[in-house]
Amino acid sequence: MKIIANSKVFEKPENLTVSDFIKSIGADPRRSVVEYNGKAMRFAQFENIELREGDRLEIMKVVAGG
Amino acid sequence: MEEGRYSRQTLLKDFGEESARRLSEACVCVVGAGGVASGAIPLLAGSGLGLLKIADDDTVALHNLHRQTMYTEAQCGMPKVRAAAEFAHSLNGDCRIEEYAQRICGKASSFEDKFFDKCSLCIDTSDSFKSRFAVSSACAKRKIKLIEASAEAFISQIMLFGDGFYLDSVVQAEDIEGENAKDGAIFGPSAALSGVWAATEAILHIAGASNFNIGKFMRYDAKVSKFTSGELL
Repeated sequence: MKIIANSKVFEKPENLTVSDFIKSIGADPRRSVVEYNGKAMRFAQFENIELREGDRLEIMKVVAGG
Repeated sequence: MEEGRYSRQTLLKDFGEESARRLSEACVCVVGAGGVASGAIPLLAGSGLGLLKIADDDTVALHNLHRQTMYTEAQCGMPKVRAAAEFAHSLNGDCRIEEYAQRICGKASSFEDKFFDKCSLCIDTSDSFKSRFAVSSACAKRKIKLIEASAEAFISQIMLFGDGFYLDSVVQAEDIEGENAKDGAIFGPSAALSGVWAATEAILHIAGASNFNIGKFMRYDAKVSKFTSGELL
């Protein structure tokens, strides 16, 4: 299935959660806020969402600098 | 006749004399006095805030002046809280400033009790997840509303916390222990923007001009001009 994340198209197998997807591209889901099809979510909200063909993600690392 | 100091602010809809009074009676605690704080402190002091408490254990350094625009070259080596207090006081003598040259550890201490005493709202602009978790924990314990304002590279970010929803609801503390963003690359305007957002939320909330939306998240990537906002609660 095709997933669009941070403006790039990824070809991924079915039955993949948002959390699995983030790990698969080398990012840390526990440090991320995700915009899933336009809605911002924290880890506890997106962890178990199963991705579907054409889903759009914006994966944002939470930053701590000052 | 000379205009009143806050006249252009009290002319705003939903921001009249009552808002000015609320601000003059409020106390904001700012943790960290770096680049993000340099965006927030001038606006907080200028707004007519009654009491501003600033905590930071670091000194002014030349390599930080690109974003820490409250300070001058002549102040290098001076405790940042001292220099920040001088700046804020020179901007608005109405605003009482308290300076704390210490780091918040989130543990029971008379210093932290004194720092957070009378605090209407806290803005955390510190430079690591470790310190941010400590501040978040201290605010959760005291039921203080918290704005986490941060920046890294070209990213500006703020999150609003309170009512049992704090930083550990978004990021897992055990995963980031020991990480420090202090020495990372950072774009000056991105740090300032985060501070301006934090001051905006704080002033509007204290003035009673808008709601404090716990869970609010805002992020801007200056490199690609991309703004994101949402509710994380």
